[in-house]
Amino acid sequence: MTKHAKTVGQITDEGIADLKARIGAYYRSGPYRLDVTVDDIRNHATNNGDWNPLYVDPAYGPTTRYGHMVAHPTYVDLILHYTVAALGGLPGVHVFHSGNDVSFFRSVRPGDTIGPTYRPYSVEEKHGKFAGRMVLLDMEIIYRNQRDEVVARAHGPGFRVVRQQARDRGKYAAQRKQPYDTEALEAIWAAYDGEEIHGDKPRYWEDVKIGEELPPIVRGPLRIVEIAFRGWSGGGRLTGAGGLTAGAHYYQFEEYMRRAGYAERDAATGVSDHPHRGHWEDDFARFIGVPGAYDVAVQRTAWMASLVTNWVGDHGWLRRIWNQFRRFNVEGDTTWVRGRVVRKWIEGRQHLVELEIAGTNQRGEVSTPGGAWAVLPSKHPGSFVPK
Amino acid sequence: MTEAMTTERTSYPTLTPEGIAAARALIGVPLRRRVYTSLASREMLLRYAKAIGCRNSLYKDPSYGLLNTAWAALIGHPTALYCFDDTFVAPKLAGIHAIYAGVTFKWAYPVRAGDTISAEAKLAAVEEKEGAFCGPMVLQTGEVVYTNQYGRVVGRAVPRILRTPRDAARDRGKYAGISRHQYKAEEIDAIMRAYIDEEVRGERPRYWEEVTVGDALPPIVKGPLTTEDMNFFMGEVGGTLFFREFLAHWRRHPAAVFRDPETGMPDSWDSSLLRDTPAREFGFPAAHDSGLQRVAWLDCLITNWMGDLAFLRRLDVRLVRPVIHGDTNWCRGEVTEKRWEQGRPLVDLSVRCVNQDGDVTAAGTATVELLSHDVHVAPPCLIQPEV
Repeated sequence: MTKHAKTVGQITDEGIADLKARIGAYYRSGPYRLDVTVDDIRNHATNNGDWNPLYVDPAYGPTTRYGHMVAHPTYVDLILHYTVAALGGLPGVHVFHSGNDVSFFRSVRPGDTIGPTYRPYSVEEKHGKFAGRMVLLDMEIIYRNQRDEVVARAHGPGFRVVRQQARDRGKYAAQRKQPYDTEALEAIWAAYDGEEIHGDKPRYWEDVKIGEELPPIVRGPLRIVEIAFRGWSGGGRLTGAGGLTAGAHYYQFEEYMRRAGYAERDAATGVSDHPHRGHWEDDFARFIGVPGAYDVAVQRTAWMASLVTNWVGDHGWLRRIWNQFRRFNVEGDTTWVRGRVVRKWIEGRQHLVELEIAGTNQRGEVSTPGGAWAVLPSKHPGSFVPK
Repeated sequence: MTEAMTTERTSYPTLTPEGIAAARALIGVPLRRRVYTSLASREMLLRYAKAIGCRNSLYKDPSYGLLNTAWAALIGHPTALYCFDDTFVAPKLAGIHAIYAGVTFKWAYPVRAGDTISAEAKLAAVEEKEGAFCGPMVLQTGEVVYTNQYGRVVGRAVPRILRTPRDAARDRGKYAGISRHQYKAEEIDAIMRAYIDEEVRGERPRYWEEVTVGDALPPIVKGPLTTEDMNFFMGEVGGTLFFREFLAHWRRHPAAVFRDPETGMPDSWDSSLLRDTPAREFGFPAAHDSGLQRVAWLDCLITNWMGDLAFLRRLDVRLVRPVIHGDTNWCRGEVTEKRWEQGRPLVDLSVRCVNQDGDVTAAGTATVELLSHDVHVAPPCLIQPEV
């Protein structure tokens, strides 16, 4: 068991004021990706467990209404990670991502260059069961392509807590890692095997009924390599520090020099390491109050999006997805994503459905409630589905 | 819910004549590989450079090579070939661990941004060996050929992978006494100074005539090794299976996965790149590097020294000892010979990685083609030798 030095930052009035002063202004941020490639689109999908041929097989997209391969809608997370971690500020104060609200307007295809513009959206102080004094933040990102078309708009709210305070609260003290027997694993395998992708049959808006359930999907058991080794292709750069500046070895050292209070120095070994390593180190996760290595939450947003993209098929469109991360998704957890239709309406030429979606773990806890809007093709002539 | 799995020591398969014969039967057969990258986009080449901590503008700057050098392109680090095939050729012998023992790379000319690289991998040899680490083991030698979109071979690799029965390695405990290094502040300072002082020859040509046998290459440092360094490298080179792919692998090769002793959850062996527990299952003392990284670091040592227009023709590296998290490796080398081969000015180098305790962790040789003062000798960028 390593000991962590008391190199924690504090939430200061100045730090909060600095963030508040930036509300309103849009910043241009360099694209995290110069080139969208077939490899990146495929790896992003498969790193999130999605094997929809639309996102994985470059020969499939050209046979669809798109006319080309398209990226999974949550690909934009790789351009700029849609979480307030990307905002910076309050050095040494930990950040937890509390949810997403992302709207999708146009597809991303190989050859595109996507540029993000972002700003802090709201900053407020709160007290919570988890960690005492905390700051709630939201940011807004607009993603545009090289034709200056808006591809997506995202919110990624989160909260900042002092690391040591989080540990002292013990909300998850009773939680243990999930044991898995062969039967449990077979059930998960059967769910993967049976995952339904609607594909090229149109799912007409007129045929959808309120209360209709979407075929569920499963993702898990979550392993630390699935959290850590997604690289630029599965979850973007986790540091949110900016574009092509960071990397291994020297670049870690340089980032710690540039951002005082950012690194966590291990008191036993004297080695500084990244503050987000609670994602794959149990020790550090517990230090900040989480029962074990925990997921990069945007992965759950990608899974919930997959539930919908599986269902709407090649002729439909995921228009918006929102969720809240109510519980940590810890190594060993398996998440079932389920949804049902709760509303239908028409907006101009678009025929929309609203879905209530939830990610539930193997303990039966709803870790990720949320919802989505989808645009479906209609039998009405002149209906429009984005692409 | 089941009880927690017993924490009795797991027993792993051992080498059998049938197993070895089955491996031999694959010699010369093109192997099916999981491809993570085939397009050498600007993005991907720059990311690889950052993933190995490269400081050389030639590889890490999008426009330097294009505008400042006679390559007239962004070119890839020589070992960026790992992204197109990681050279881990270790088929069959399920349940027997696989450890990268080394590789010989030969390059014909660089990968340029925009190239598409396809790789073909085969098993070339299977030999029975004996060693202190685990007694009887098997050495698998592979052949990987990298070809660009014009059908030209850009490079070849001959990797060597040791198949090491886990029980025997644990029993012998060759590395059991190794623990994470505890750094004094002066040691960290020395590493930081080495990063700051790292020399890149860059645009000033290194002429064959000016090199003397015995010349030392300016050493470079890589470390202390952290999980973040692993994330960057593994995220770039690939090899991780995600979600349904991993479970499919487990179903096909039940002996090939690691079961968490506490929960019974299946996990892949690459979790030993992040965690101590799986590493100890096969006789390593702690979470460790991928082995490929040391080859990449020696690539950096040489390419830093040789100058923008030189060319690394051959690099042969033998991995001698595990590198665990927290280790720092100092890469050093000297010129051992100067010669002409078919009218080309070549120098041979002896190179090695030495850790913070003075142990050699990797050792090898290399051949570099330099520029010459002789105006009739064309620079490497105008030559395309067959490999």
